[in-house]
Amino acid sequence: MTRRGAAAWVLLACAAPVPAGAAVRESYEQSVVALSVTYQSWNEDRPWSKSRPGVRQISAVVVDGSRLLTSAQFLEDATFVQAFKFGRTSRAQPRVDFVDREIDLALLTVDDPAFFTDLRPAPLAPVTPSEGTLRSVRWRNQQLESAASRVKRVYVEGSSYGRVEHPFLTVQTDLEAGGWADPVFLDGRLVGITVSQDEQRARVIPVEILTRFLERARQPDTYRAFPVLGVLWQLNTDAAVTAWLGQAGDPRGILIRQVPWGSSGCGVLKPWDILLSIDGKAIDSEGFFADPRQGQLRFPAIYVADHAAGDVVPVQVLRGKKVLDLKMTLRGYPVGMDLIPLRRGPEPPAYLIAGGLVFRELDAPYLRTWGRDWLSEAPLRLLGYYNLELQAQTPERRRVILLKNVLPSTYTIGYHDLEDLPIETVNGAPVDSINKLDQALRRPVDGLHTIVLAPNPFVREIVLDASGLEAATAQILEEYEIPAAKRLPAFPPPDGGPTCPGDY
Amino acid sequence: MKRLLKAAALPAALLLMAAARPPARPATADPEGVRKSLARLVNYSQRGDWLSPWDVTQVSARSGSGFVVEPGLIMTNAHVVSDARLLLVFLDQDPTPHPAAVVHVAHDCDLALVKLQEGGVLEKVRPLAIGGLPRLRSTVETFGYPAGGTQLSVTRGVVSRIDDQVYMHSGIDSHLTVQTDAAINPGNSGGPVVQDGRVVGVAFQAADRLENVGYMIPTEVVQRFLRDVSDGHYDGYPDLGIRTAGMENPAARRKAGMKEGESGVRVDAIDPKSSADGRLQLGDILLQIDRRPVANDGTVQDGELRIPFGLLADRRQAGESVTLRVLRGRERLDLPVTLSIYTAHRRMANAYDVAPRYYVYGGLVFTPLEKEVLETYGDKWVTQGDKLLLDAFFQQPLRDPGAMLRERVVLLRKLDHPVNGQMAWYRYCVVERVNGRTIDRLEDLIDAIESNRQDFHVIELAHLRRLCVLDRKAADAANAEILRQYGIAKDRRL
Repeated sequence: MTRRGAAAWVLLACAAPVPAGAAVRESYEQSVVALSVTYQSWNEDRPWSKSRPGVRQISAVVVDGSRLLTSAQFLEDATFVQAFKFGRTSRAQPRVDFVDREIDLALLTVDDPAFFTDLRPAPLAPVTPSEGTLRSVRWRNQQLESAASRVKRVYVEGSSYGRVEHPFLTVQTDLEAGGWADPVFLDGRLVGITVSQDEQRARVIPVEILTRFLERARQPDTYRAFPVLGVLWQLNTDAAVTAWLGQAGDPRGILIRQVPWGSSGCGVLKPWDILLSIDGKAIDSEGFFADPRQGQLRFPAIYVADHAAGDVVPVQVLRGKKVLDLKMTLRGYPVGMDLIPLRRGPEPPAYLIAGGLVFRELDAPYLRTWGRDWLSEAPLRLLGYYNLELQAQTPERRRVILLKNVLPSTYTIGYHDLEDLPIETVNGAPVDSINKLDQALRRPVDGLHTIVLAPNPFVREIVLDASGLEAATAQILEEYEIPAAKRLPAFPPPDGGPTCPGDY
Repeated sequence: MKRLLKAAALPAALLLMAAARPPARPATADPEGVRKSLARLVNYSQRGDWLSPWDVTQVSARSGSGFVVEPGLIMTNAHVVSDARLLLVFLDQDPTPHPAAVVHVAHDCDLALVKLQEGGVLEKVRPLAIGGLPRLRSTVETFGYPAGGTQLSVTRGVVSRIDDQVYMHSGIDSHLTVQTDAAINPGNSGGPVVQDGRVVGVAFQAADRLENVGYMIPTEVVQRFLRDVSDGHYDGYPDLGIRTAGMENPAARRKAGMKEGESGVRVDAIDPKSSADGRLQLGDILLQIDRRPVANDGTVQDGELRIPFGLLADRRQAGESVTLRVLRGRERLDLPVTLSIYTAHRRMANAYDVAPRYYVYGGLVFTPLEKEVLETYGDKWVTQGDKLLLDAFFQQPLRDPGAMLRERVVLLRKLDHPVNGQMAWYRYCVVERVNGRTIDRLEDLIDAIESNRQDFHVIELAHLRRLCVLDRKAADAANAEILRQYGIAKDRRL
């Protein structure tokens, strides 16, 4: 057997969950619950309908205040949630009490106080351990599974769900098919909860983030978001670039490229600034700073846990060959602030049907309908917006509205093959929301509706008879069994505020 | 679709293929005497390498078919003779290889004329007569040398469809095409398709996913090619330079002010500096072309066929004109439009008989953005290619028609050296500005680099404000060493 083969064999041997000591086991039984989440997502292709419902089995951990802490992403599109605790004699229906999708955490509660009588909050670990073996815990088939999870590293990454970049703990776990908000403990204290698992590598939101979330969530009315710098930047490792920008000595700091509307950097940072430090902590040319406990971490770790949106931090930049000391107000950055949102959150997709023409917003949930390889397979004319203008929302252009497809009828003859075409104006009015589309369609010109599409190889302009629109829409709804001609967004998309238009 | 070249790169493969070949059909009596006018062409070709643009690919050998069309001239497909280093012609039943040369090649309609380098041989061969468009369901015979064979193969089938198709050789040109169920296989390329003793088409491509579907180039395309080269030079197809949209919807016709019974298509885009630029306007309704009414789906009646109106312009030579009747506002105008060749979109076609242009400086390899550059990503370049590069190539000219006239230059890759070792971006990036100068062609970039006297070269990339900088003196000093290290004889080909 080769050395490599031997290593694989040993790992396999360790893979079975190992029972914990009796006392610790009891504490896990009392602080870990299982949640069964029935969910039903929207059908992004036919946004008036829902897709097939499914069920997720996830974990939650009991925290102070008789609440259950879990990952927010697994509650998306939830229609019914049940909680199971040890012994499984009682099932409760928890409700979501507080959620921060950007940091991917949610708190649930059960209104019946009796639910918590035989549970106790998990004590929080003081810090994320930088080495050692932890225990991942979950309920499976009335059995408490406890598996070894070895600390691999702490690394700052973007959330796969929200927009916040923060340190994640990566563990090599023996828990099979985990990653569903499984709590991870060290000596009975909560170190984090998992948000994903790829084979045996699990990604864990660490306790520092959990602690801040729980602290801030105690006052939900004044909750302050986790901050996001929100700018686009590149490594500053090239001595030729730094010399050209007037930086003496070794390259340090990161090179800012684009500053979106609404980001923390907006109004403070400029393209081709070198960002040297945040909050007094120097950033190296690859974006790392020296964390006293975890070693080199990417710069978001400077502020993400120790500051909240609204805090003002000093930043130092090199601009025009001079070092400037500036103040930056930290902001959150909800995914909805993007021109092409990565997630839609709890809102159903907005759409509008006009005489068979189906319109919707362009967002990543729609692009994902092209399958796992959507970043390759989706139409180039749509991916261009995602790749080049993801964060390019401006006050004048909040969303990209698509002609998604055309439901055929005699009214729309000549247009039946059109699909996935962004639109520019309707009856002369720029359209960057389903609401504006709805309004524009009430103002035909000379008895006609004219829809101008963004340049494409097929057609530039769609013209429809305004007098026939209402009847054609009614007929389409009946013919294609569609419950309503439109669903307008409940809220306008979050915007970047009045202070800074961005420099994208 | 696949082209019908027979790849025969290795003698071993040829031998194997010969052994595996199914028994030959009984030779037909050849009452038309066609076979004496046939030729088999073997092309030893070599192409440029668009990923290492100073280099060339391996030599490959391919064979196709052809026929004598005029005294001393063999007609075949352009793709049979493309990129030839050595072209050999074998006349039917004659084992002598005759070195040959391409006289004219038309990559946009996949036709070529070849002559033998020695005089007197071909002149004795009787040219085949050229016929007209075969009727649907009529029988045709295909002559050629498929599957690497040296003996003639004749297959018979019926004409199953006549319409316009993309010619795969260039990848962007569509012309009238005749479909037949006669077996057309690799190696048939360039062979004549015969009816009643006359050539009614040139076999050229087959459908990949359809059974028994082969395509031939009809004689109207062949004749147009022969007329084009009659002045000793191939000019190519002129282009109106417009994109139009159908007017099937009555509301669209009403908005345009079209009368009851009037039909046409709307001009939705005009290529800058094309034939139509300055003559047509956006929103014009094209009602007629040369007095033939254009239907709301963009077709015109042509004999028994309905064909796209653009095919009528295709039949003309550059410099000739067509008369377009357009509805503009409330006026109906008859506008003569002189047709010109529009070269800007040739970069979207497959390239042949050319070597890539490039410039290497400081280890950075720059080359114009062409389809061949995209194809360096491999067969799946449409999905696997860099999306920003694909966007610059396909989408930007739609958003900004003027971009069609710009040659976008790509920072293709870097040849690692300390002078560029820390560069953040260096693969498949479109260059927007160099040292403050907007780059509209490769020569602009070279000039911006060579005329710069500042300490640094600043290269601004077209997307996401990406930035590269080179230390000028260090790069100047490193150039010769980089070229030597990477085995590059010349720093540029323009």
